[in-house]
Amino acid sequence: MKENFLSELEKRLSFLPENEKREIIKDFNEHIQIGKYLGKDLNTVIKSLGSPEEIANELIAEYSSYSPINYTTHDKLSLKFIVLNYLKLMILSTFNVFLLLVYLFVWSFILAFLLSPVIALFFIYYNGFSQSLFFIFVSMTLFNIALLIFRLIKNFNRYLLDINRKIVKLGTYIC
Amino acid sequence: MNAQLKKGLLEICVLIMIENSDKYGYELASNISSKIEIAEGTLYPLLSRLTKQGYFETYILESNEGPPRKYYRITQKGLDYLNQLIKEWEEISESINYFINLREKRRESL
Repeated sequence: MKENFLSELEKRLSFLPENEKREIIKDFNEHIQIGKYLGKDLNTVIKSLGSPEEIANELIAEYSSYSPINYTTHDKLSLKFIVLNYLKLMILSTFNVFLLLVYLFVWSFILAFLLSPVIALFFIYYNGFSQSLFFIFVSMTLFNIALLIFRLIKNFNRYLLDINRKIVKLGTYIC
Repeated sequence: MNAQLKKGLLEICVLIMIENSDKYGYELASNISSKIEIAEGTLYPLLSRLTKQGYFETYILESNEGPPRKYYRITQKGLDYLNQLIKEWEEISESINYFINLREKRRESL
């Protein structure tokens, strides 16, 4: 009964720093020991302490009402917070630099494709219309492909923005 | 009784009892639980917090009768805090009494 009570309490106090947890367990151990020494019924003594859950809730309430004690748990959290954000920053920057390269690549194609009808005009000017039919056909096709890619990218942008937002939100529940 | 109210009052009671004489947890718990209905275990989180805040000091005393006990002693800071709490409590009870009296007068005049 006593061992059950203390181990259950210890389990519920895992949010406390180790030394404070030990101190509390010691207090309860002392209480039970004294009750036993005074010849009280052990079950009654433990029952009148209340449930481990009740005690743990009380401790959480006490700890949150008094901020300076929070520093121990808070310290751990903020370290976690720093590491987490550092990781997020790395993921975000790698992801976006990669994207930037892909964008540059794709945009250079779009630009070249869009300009191909202009080049076709030069072709017509120098070689005559009948000589340039094939190139006119190719340049029109490329121009349309460029428009198509442009539209796809526009939709894709929203998707990428969403990914970025998700990375930023990543793991905030831990802290 | 309302849980928040009880908690505030419990704090005053604990401070007054330890001001009167140094006490160990079990002693305090059995004294208080004979007057106020509480789970005795919830006293320890309160004691721990008040100690952290510097209102109590603790020391261990070996006993010929039973295990060593952790005693709580009130500090000057704790005394100041207690005085402030009592002043607040008196102000609150004064204003509540005013409203209770008002109610009673109204009932008498009916």
